[in-house]
Formats: sequence, structure tokens, C-alpha cells
Amino acid sequence: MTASSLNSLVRFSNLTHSYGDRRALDGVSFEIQSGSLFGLLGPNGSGKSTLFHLLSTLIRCAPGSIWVDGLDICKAPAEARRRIGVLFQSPSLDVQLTVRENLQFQGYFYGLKGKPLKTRIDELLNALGVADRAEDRVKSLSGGLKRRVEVAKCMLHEPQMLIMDEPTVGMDPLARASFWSALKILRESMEVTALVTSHLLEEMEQCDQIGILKSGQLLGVRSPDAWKSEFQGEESISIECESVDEAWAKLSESWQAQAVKKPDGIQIAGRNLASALPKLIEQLGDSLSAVKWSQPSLEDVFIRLNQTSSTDDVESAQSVKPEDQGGLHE
Amino acid sequence: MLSQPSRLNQRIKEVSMNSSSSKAAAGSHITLAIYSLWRRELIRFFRQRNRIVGALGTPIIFWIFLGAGLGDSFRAPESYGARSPLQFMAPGVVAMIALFTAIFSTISIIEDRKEGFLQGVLVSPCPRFAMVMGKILGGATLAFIQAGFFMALTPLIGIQVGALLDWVMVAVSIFGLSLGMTALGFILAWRMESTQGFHAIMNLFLMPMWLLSGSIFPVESAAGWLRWIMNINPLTYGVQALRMILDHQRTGVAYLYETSFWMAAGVFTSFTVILVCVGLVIAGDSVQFNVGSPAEPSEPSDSKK
Repeated sequence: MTASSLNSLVRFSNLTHSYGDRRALDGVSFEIQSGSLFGLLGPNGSGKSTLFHLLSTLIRCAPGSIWVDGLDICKAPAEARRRIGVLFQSPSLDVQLTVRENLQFQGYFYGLKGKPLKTRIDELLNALGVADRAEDRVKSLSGGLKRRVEVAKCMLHEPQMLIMDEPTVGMDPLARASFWSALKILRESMEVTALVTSHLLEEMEQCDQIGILKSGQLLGVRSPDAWKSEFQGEESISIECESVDEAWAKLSESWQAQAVKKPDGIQIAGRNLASALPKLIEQLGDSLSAVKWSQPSLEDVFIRLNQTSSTDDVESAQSVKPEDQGGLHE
Repeated sequence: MLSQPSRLNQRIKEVSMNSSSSKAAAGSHITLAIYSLWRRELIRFFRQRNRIVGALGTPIIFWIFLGAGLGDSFRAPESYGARSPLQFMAPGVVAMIALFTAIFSTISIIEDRKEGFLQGVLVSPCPRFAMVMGKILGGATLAFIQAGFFMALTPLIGIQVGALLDWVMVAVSIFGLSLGMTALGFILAWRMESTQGFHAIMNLFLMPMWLLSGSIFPVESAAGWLRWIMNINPLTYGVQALRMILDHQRTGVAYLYETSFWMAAGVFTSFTVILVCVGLVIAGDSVQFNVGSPAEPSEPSDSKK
């Protein structure tokens, strides 16, 4: 056993899954360290949801295996369910019931009852900041609060592993931020390992490790910084301007760089862009409202990795202007 | 991180202790799971008033309008104790209440298991049969309560249930009808992809099943081919058994000594038991449960960054 596998709580081994002729997952193997937050990234159709359903025991895994704390969940799904808390993308609360009723009933499914269950519910609602809404019907709660109650619901039975599918989908930025901070407190106080899938790449920056899936295969598992350093030297400039078309025309006359046209501006990617900033500002003049130069973000990494993909799900990749990637020529 | 292995060891111990004592706890665990799903059905029903109107109001309106509309043109064969169409249709209305309540309570399964409360049940260690029983018993209880309300109206039209034994038999048959209809609804809803599909089944299969159960016209007065269909319709027997109990006072037929009563009760009971078993088999099929359609795994559709 290697040093790394000593600390790993979850191990995916040669996971393969097909829907008829279509292979959704193709020999995926990786480990998740105990206590860490693991992000799973991939465009639609990459096999992300399949992996999520396999881990949540909703579909059977064959061939391959998933080990959670030494237990093969494919062989012992009932036992595995005690170790895993699942936060679904679609809401799983009954809106006609109160917060407490929802949690109580969920507790019963895990054989929890009486005082220990009540204590556990109160503890979780307090930790997640929804204790004052315990007796309210779920339908009266805001989207952000509902989501926190869902977290409490899947943490009731003290799982070792929390898996979350797009947990913040449809939430406003404020609710998202408070969701993540509530989750952080919970994870620290209850020492739980978590796997999360998300399309919101800025959220994924807080993960300890990120695995990127593409067409059913794992491109790798690295820390967010390590992924970004893969594209060291690649920079990006985002421009906000009044008339995007006009600016686009001006730039395409004299610039050769990889660029993406967005509704409110233009995104340019390439090397040594910083030195060309003054020229760009001069060229666009008054029509410019903002310019931002940055090193690669996780989003750039994700888009780059998926650019060669035949899927058209990464919306930004569709509008990439395929020009010389060699750099910027004045 | 140093403390991690020891914490994990402790966890493993806890888990193995849990599994050794799990057999003892399994019984109460299953009862709790059934209880919570049953209770959820009841709470949901009483918090959604429109469901009460739908499941109780519709059959009563059918009953009053059809009964009043048919009036004197209705002729039940001599062997029936019922004189007016309202009296004749009463057992059929109970069947309809059971059917409608079952539809309302099981239709929710379709959405519930894809995006709702049942998702959480499906990833819990709660055995599938507990889930099936909780759901079916919940629906059956609701139908039973509503049919009870309806029964309270029947003395107004001259239906008298005198003896305590008759009341017990009425309750048993109403519960049987409720259980059978809910189990049928469960089986139909379980594999269904959309609620629209369920509506089609309701109109093409469930409503004709009720119409041809002897609820609004007697089997004897139907044309030959129709009578044949009515005779193979299991609901016919449930309605017939209940009718014999309700007519006891008027006809004086001691149904408990009648073979026809026990035949009808036996056919419907067997039908109900088979339906519950089928429900347990189709839903209890171990782990495999397709949350999305197998051809298209439900990938998140909104890829807004």
C-alpha cells in the first residue's frame, strides 16, 4: 500500500459503464483523500452524472469497483448507503412538510429515532443556520435555505462521504456564497469528505483536488493550482466595450490571437499579452469601458481542455475564432 | 491528518458493531420506514385541500347526477335489494373513491422518484419493500377515510347497516378495495416516465374498469360481450361483495352463508394480494433503478457558467 492510498477514503477502480452501445465511462480510476473536498468537472455527456449515480448506488457498477472506506459499494450497496450522503441536483425535500418533518422521516429511513434523532436534527440545523425555520413548511423557504436543509438531510446519518451534484444550481450569488461557507463550517466540524460536481468553475477553486472527465475518460486529478500551471504563460485579456462588433472588427484587422466574442465584450487568450495592453487601449480608445488582464483561471483550463472535444456543450468554445495561436503580432 | 486513521478505525468498529446488531434493529427500522412513508401520505393529503375535493367530491357528484338523471328509468333485477339508482350505485361510488384516491396518491411517485422526496429514500438503506408498503398503505388509508365519510351519507338515501358485524364487514371490504386500487396505481405509476402517460392509462384503462365493474349498471343487464368483460374484471367482485353487505338489511340475504359472497370476496382478495406482490417485485428489484432513461443519462441540462 502506498502512502497516498493509506489516507484515501474513496477509490474508484477501472470504472466502466455503458448505456447500450454508448460508453459513458471508460476505465476511470482515481482516489479521494480522506477529509478533502474533491471537485468533478466535465462538460455534459462526459460521464459525470453516471459516475455520480454509480457512487450513490442508484445504478449498478460493472465492471469496475468503488471502495468507500474499505467497502466495495457495488457488492454491498445497502451497507454503502449508510456511509454516503447524497445531495441531488433536483430538490428532494417534500415542500408540504415542515423542515423538521422532512428530517425526521429521513432519519427513520436510517433507523434513527427518538432523542438521538432530535438532537442530531437540532445540531445540524444550528450548524447550517436554519434552526429558526425548523417548524416552517419547506415551501416557505428560499432556494438557498432549502438547499441547506437538504445538506442537513443527507448529513443526518453521519455519512463519511458527502456527494453533491450541482449543489448551487439556480441560486443567486449571495445564496451560493452562504451555502459554501455553511458547508465549509459543517465539513470542518464533522470531518466529512465531499465530492462535488459543478459547472460554476469559480466555486471549484476551493476544492483540494479536481478531476476532469471528458468523453467518459479521466484527464487527470490535480489541485486547482496544478491544473492552472499546466497552462503557465497563457494569459487572457477580457475587454468590455460599448460596441462589441466594432471592436471585434478593429481587432481582427491588426491582431492575431485566439479570441472569443461575448455579449458584453471580447476575451483574448495567448502568451505575452501584458506588453500589448497599451497598444490595445490606444486602438480601442473611448469605446472601451474596462480591460482586465489575468493569468489562466480554472475556466480557461476547462475550456482549453475541452476545445478539441466534439461536444458543443461548452458554449464559449463555439465562438472561438480559430486564428494563429502563436502569439500576438502588432 | 495524523488523527485520521484512528478516527477511521473507530468508524469501522462502529460500522461493524452496527451490522452485528443490525438484525435485531432491522424489524423496528423497517416499521419506522413504513410508518414514515404512511404518515407522509396522510400529512400531504390533509395539507392539500384540493385533493380532498378531487377524490371525494368527484365521485359524489357522479353519484348524485347519475342517480338523479337515471331516476325511474333505472331497473335493477329483482335479486337486488336496491330500489333507487342512488342506492344501487353506492358500492360503486366507494370503488370510485378508492380508485380516485389511489390515482392521486400514486401519481406523485412518477415525479417524486426523479426529483423529489423518494430520491432520498432510494439512496437510504431502507428496503424497497418497506417503501412499497408505506406508499400503498398510506394511499389505502386515505381512500378508507374518504369512503368512510361517504358511508356516513348513505343512511340519507335509505341504506341501513344495522349490525356491528355488518359494519366490520363493510370496513374490511372498503379497506380491501382501497388496498387493491392503490396497489394497482402503484404498479402503473412505478415504471412510468411522465404524469401525462398516467392520465392516458387512467382514461383508457382505469375509468373503463370502474364503468364495467357493475358500479352503475348490473352485470345481468349488460349485452353478452360486455357481460363477459365485466365477469373477468376483478373490480366487479369487490363491488359485488360490498353490495351484498350493504343490501343485507333490505334483502335479508344472510351473505355470510352465501357462496357467491365468498367467491366474490375471494376473487378480489386474491387480486389484491397479487397486485401487492407485483408491486413489491417491480420496485424491490435490488439496486438497479434508472433515475434517468437508460439511453440518456440525466446529465445536468443547464450548463450556464
